[in-house]
Amino acid sequence: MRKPTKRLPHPRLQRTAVHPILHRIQAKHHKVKTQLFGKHPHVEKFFQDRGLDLSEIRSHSAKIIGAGALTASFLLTPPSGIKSLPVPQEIIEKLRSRSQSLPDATPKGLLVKSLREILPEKVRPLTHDEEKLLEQIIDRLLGIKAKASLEGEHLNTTFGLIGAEQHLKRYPGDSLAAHGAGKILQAGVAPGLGAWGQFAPTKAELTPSLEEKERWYAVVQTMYLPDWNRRLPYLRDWYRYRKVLIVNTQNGNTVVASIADAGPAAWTGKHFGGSPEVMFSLGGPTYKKGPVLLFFVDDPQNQIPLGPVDYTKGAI
Amino acid sequence: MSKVFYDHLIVLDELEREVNRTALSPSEKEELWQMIDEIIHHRVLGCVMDNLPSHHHHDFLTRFHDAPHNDALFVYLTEKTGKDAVKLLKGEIAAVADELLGEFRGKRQRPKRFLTSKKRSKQNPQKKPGRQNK
Repeated sequence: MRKPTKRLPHPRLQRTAVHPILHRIQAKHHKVKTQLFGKHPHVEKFFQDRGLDLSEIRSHSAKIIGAGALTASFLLTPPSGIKSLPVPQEIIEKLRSRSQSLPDATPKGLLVKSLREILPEKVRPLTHDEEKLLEQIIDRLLGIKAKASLEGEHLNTTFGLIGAEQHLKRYPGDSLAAHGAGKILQAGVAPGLGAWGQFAPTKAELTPSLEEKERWYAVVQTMYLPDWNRRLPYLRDWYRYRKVLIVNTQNGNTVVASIADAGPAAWTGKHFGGSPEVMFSLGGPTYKKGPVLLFFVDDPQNQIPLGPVDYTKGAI
Repeated sequence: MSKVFYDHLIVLDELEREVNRTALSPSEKEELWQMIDEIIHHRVLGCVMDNLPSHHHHDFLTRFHDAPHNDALFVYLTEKTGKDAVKLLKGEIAAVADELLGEFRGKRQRPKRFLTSKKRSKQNPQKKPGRQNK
């Protein structure tokens, strides 16, 4: 008699030592997928015919949006250097003359006003021209060379929502108490590790520089970069501790941070994350989410310290 | 920026907190994020297919494939289903979020109709099961 064939579980379930929650969500994922394609087989066929998996809908969407933006820039950018956006000095001078008698005619006040003039109401990827203009304004007002694209790398968006993150474990056995004191500890320590693992293999090897990197860390969605998987070894190293400038577009508070984790998930509605210290500096103790600009800092000599930006040192 | 037209309806703060509380390796965390995202896409599409008359399925799928980010898909769905598409998808996403939270909290959130009379009487000791009343 023929033996009954043993039905193999879904490939994702065939691994061993999977975290229980991961196992449960994998099973749920399989069930949901089977339900949809069982009830509506034409949906599966539709996507198969187009060589697309529904699980890739975000990257597919990113490609379409990217291609659309590129086409629009070819079609709409004036060919002879005529720009629709004003030059940065023009914006700064206009704002300065308008608000000379006002107390907020400070570099910070000017930055906030400039951002209001340039940025759209809702967060979205900025155009190349908008990014270039902002780079120059930041350079003039803060004296920091901030770049939307650095060494050919560019994030999916430079204007998005930042969310509060927890402290990261810096070495095996690290505890919350070792991360400082006061309200800053309320965020707690993330139970897992950051995308680049621990900062140091032991407590003794945790240098002041690494300590600063964790204190002022930023989170960006590296995993959604279109070429992340293809160029993983290079990009992983390139983004690790990469310095970024984060500007709270509502109050002008600005922080230089280093990238030390990947996230947040697309379904959170956020685009960036900040350590408890970063969030505190950007918006105070209750600041959990808000619109920010996030640009790379062009600092090959490592001269710009991490932490809040001092406006008095600006180049205005 | 990756975007689908119903992104603004996905508000899963509670689920995010649960994920953050789970000790996963970075790769496991990313895998989990991806699976949750995929679960939402499949359920939303299932909801659309269930409510949209079948002769519009292909047209919708084509529009969705060509511009997954296009907000006009809501207008299309509202028109073709005769229902408020925003409300419909919001409800479906909330239901998925509840189910996923149930998975995180280790409980199978089964509807009450599946509970045995014994369990039901445990939950509500005032009311006795029907058979004993006879």
